[in-house]
Amino acid sequence: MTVALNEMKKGQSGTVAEIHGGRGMRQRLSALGVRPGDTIRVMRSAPFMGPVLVEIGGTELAIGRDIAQRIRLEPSETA
Amino acid sequence: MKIALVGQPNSGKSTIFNAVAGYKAEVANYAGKTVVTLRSRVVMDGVPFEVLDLPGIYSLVNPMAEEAAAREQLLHARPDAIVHVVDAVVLCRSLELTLELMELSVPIVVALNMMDEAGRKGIEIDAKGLSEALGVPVVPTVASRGRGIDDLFRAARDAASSGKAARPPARSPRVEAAVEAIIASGAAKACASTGLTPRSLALHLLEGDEMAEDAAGRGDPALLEKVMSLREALSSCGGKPADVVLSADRHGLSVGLFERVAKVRKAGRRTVQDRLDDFTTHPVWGYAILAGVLFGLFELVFGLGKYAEEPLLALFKAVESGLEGSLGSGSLPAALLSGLLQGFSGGVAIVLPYLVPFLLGLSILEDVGYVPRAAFLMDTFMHRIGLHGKAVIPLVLGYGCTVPAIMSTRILESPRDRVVAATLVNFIPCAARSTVIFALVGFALGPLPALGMYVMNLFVVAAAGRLLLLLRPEASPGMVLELPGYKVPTPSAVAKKLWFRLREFIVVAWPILIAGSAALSLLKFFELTETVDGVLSPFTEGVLGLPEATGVPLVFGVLRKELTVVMLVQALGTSDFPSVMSAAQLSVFTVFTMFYIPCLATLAMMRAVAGTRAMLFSLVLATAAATAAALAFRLGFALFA
Repeated sequence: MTVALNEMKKGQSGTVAEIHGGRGMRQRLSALGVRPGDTIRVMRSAPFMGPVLVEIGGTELAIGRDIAQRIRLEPSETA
Repeated sequence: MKIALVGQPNSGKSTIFNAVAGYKAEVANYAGKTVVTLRSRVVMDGVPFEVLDLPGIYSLVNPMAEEAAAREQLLHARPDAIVHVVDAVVLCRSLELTLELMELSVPIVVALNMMDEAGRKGIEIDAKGLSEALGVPVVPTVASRGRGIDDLFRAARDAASSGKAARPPARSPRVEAAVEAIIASGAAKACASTGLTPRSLALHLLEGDEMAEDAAGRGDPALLEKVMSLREALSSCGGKPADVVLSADRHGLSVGLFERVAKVRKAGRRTVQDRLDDFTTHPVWGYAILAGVLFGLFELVFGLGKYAEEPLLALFKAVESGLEGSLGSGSLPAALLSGLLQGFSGGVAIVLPYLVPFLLGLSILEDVGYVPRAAFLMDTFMHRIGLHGKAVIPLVLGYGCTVPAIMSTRILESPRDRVVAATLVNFIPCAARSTVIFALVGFALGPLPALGMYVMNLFVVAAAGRLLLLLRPEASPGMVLELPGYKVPTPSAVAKKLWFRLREFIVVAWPILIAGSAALSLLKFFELTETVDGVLSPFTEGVLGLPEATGVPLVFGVLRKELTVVMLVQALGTSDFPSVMSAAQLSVFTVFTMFYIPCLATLAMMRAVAGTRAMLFSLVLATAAATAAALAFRLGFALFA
């Protein structure tokens, strides 16, 4: 069962399973280090349907909701 | 000899450039600040060479917005060596760019920057091992403290003069076979215009890079067909699109390299940054901090500005009356001299007291790294006006100076977002227009009404945003923004940036201010101001209900907004505005000045970034908004005051 990034809870982590969207979206995310197989930890969600703050590969990214819902994750068991 | 600095945003490229080039580049701590390439001649050990600071770039394949400019400049500058500046904290991701750069057959040196920060995060990197694995020199640096800079450029110079580029690591056999096939089909012919090597062109084509496709399509349509079939073959194996195969392949290589040379101690304790971010991005505290930061900045500007303005004005007044006493008033030289003096004193006493603390505060906020946090918090709000959070950066910069703020809209990915953001930036009161707010409303009516002006401004910006959203519906690709680590700003970097921005005022604006003030004196002397004022009076007096004398200052304000207050002092013959203008008039004048025709420099920059049509549109919109808002204030005062 995969979960969209925007539905993950604070502190939860997961492995990127798939990224819905065209090549442009994939390449943009992969350039910033978000790609299938990578582990993402949700640090915070901004209120009012704002962006999701995640930690990935030692850096922090703010990902807008519309993009976050295209990223499907396999939640880790430790969460 | 030409050495190009290439790196991902926030890797510390500009800091390295500044360390070697002196006062010539601007450094800022958020993604996408360097939108223009800076170059500098450097002499080291008696050997001269040229250093280029290219805009930050994440990947050479289908780069976004300003990154595309970086790629184009890199491929066409033909540097003798590339220094790839790597943020050691994100080494694994950065190695992918190293691999892409190595395909260009240019000698490369890797600067392993922010080693201290990586150490704090529990990442230990074996620089020597990395150098052996890649076959290129790797120099550890801490650019913010100037560590390793000399070694880095010595290595780069040696690499450039040797002219030897290391062989890039081999990709997986499947990919290599496809690359071979493309080279055999004549990739060399197609790559002439791109600046890529045949091998890198082949890799770009397989990954679906649009620039490479264009070049190949123009030169040799048969080659493109060959590429299509190879891509299909690549994706048929694992069922994944070819671009995923290529990027996974490169990712695999980087991960392999990273695991060989780096050890990550599980960082058990949370860093200071994590704890800070708990607050700055918190749904409640975050906004409280944002409001506090903006209010603090405002207080800093207003407090310091007012403290300096009063005694300075008194001083210049004394000088002026002394001058009049000795030269006698009414003569041409006296008129000219007093005009020049008023232009000069206007700069010292009215503009600088507010500009210096404002730019200081803004520079510190940028260098600390707070701006991207503000973008995170403001994303939802920005969506309401048809933009995303990143657009808060140009809008906040707009409070400094509209010109660099419009320049910074280049960080936005879509042209539509850039036009909208640039148009809105123009509505934000820049430091020069803030001077009008402070000097007229703040000084005469008090700090609270002045703050009210800013709040009112936000509503107008929001309304204009909604209007633009109707005219140009949003196709925003959404936001992905890196939040760089917090940094303690170094006084020298802040001072450099402050100077860089102040210099623009002193060199460009101040002379215009002085000349404009002298011109106004002459207009007065020859009794021509009445003519200008008379022509404008149906509007200034009739529509806005302002004193007739405000016509000339408004005209000069188009040249440079800083002129408005100085000119108003000249035109009214006093800096004690409340004695000659009512509260309603002061407010209407301020509101009108806040929105009307942007200054010449802004118009020029707007045209450069968004095109002539967008510039004309924003000019019309601005004037319409200014008139509407000013009328609303006039009406409001008439009804309720």
